[in-house]
Amino acid sequence: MTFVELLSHVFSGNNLAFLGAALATILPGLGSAKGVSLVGEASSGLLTENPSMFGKALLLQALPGTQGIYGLITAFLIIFKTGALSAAPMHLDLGQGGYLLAAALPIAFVGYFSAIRQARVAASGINLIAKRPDQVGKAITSSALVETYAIFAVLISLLLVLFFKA
Amino acid sequence: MAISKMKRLSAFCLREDTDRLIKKLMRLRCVSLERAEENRAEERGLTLSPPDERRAALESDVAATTQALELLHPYSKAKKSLFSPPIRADLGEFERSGRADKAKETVRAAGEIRRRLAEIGAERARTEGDLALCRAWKAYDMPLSFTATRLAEVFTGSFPAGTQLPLISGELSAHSAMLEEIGADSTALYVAVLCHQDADDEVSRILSAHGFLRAAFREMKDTPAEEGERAQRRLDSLAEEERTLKDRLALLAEDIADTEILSDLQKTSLAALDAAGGLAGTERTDLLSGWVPEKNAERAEAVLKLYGCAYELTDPTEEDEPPVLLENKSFFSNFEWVMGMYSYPLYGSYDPSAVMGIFYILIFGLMFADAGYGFVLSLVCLLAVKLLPLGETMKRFLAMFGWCGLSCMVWGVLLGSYFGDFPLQLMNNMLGIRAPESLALMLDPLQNPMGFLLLSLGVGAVHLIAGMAVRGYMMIRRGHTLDAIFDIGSPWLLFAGIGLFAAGVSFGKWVLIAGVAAMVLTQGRNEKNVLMKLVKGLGSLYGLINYASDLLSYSRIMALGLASAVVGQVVNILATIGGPSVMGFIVMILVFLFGHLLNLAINLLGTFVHTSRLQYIEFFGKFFEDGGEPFSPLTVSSEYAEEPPETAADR
Repeated sequence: MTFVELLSHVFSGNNLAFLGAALATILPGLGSAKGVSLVGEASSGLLTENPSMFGKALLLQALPGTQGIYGLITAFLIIFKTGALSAAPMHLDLGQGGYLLAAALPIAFVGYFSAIRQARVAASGINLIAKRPDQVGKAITSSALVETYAIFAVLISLLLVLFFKA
Repeated sequence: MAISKMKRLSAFCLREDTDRLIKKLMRLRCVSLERAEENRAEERGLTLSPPDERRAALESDVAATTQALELLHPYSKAKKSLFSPPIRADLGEFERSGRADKAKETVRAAGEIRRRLAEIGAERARTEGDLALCRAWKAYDMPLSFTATRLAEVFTGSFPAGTQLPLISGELSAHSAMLEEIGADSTALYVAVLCHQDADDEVSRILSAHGFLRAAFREMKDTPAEEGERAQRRLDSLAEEERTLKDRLALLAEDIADTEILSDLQKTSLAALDAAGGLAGTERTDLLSGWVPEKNAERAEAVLKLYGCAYELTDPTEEDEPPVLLENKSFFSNFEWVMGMYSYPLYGSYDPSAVMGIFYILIFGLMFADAGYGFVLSLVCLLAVKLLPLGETMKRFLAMFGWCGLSCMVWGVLLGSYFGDFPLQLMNNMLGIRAPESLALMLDPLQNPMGFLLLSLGVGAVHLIAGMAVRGYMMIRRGHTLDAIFDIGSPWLLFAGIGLFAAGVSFGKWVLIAGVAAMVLTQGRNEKNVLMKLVKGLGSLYGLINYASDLLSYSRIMALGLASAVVGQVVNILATIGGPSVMGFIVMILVFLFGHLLNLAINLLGTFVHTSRLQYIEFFGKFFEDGGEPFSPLTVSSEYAEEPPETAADR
């Protein structure tokens, strides 16, 4: 097998689409894992002082977890669209594969960074509710503001994938 | 849907009556008192009330009762479940009838038992240590008090497990000392060493070089076997005493309801003292200064008259910041807490609970559109509200989600989502029926995402316009009708123009031009210079970008809606993967329950957070004046017992 043949096997249209699905799962997943653990570490400090705050702390901790889910959804949609799980998988050309890869990029990148940034706001929100437990709404809202951009990214990713015509 | 009108209350009462008056007002639950530092009473020649010497005693009473309740609760047979109704008790009657004194006796007895139990615990730990020591030394048949004869000395102690005793014996024999192994366990070897007194320095040096630890027998004197028996007997008698004490606790716990009422009574008294402690007054009187909602003024006046107070009720002045009490129909009051998480509106501004409530339900339903999830959500929440005797706050919290669940059901039917696409997958993969393409009555979000996006933005546009309408309403109510027409009317004209133009209506262009002209001509009207008027007017067109970005923010409705739909679809595909077999159906039920519960939980959080955000930022941003202080009237403590309603009002 020549090198060119190898390349043409590796870079098939289907594989590009799967690369997109993989990136959409990997990057936001990493970001969310990092984010949720970051808030979890901050909330453990609060819980040693006041275990009754667990519910509120958990709410804040769950917030940066959504990016991972957005990535997962995008990946699933790509897999559905290519019919990879069905009896008759599609054969995509390079252009189609590249389209689906590009569709995955918004949530892949924005999801990764916004999860971590959102987690930092949520972690400082833990400090806020440690002193003022009644202000949990504000802590959640300011953390949710960061998520807006992940939502916009997943919106574009989903639209691109849904409008994919084989 | 309004903010209650408040009256400022100023009343002088005799200091000897203050405590009773405050307790009376507490039962009305409609008067809030300011602390004297807040209303600058000192500048008006009044002095702060002297600190009450009863406070310290009362505080320790409250602490004792709380401790007693903590101790008694595990023994109480009347197990508090979520379903048990709260105790009803009239605190005044409780005190007069002598039940309070009996409950105090219970608290005192519980306190003594608690102290004795702590002593028993400490002694048991010590005795158990002794017993373990005696067991290790049980082969030693000398009295433990024996340490030396006239010429010889005995060392008793231990080496770490694994020490080579023959080696040490060898070293010791040079000094004519004798080592005897008494016993061994997993951590240590117990030994007794006998030596001549002259050699004791040398022997002790050798022993410590090998890690010898002297045994601590404390005041034990007899042989280990005897001492062990004694310790065992002591432990038995301690256990016996503990059992008796716990039986007594169980007996005391039968009256736990009275102890709980006592706790409320004492906390009420403490709160009354604290309220009185914040007052200022003259030599013989106290000035009660605070707020009463106008609708409750008569009830408060009746009490003040009863105590012969000199009082006046006045309207708030410009400088005052009256506390905010919201008044909503019970349906809309369920949404007050959502607003409360953001902030209360300023007194004299607008309470948006009702308008917000309508949009909250609408947007929540669209964002989480699924008939199945909505059904589960509203069933759980509304049943909980109906069946469980929950606190008022919790009830409103659940009721709100219950109504939102109904909205999810309606939108779910319109958009054809029943636990994701479960009916379709069930038909195709498990029942072998060809399913229709979609169950949607209106549009299917996955097949027509653009339609769903437009629907989301459309709801957003209505929401934003409603926010501007509220602002216009506030302006008109304050007498700025022209401002309302200019500031709200001109953008609306412009929006209408954009809409008509985009829809291709022929005169749309002219409406659009009229809108732009209205913006440019009116938005600079507060500037003096004509040129500045124009510049400001043109600048206002740039402000339209804010409206555009607000509107785009509503695309999250679609994104979150798709997210729950797609995850639901994935769950359904995994659930029906087994195909139509017995095993397949079992797998289906398990995966269905687990997967959809997970999806419900995750999306509930997301939907709640982002629906709230659309209210706080996009909607409230149009009109909300935040920073109101919630009205918190004096009130009796009702942690355990509620006053019966008929006496709460008129006593």
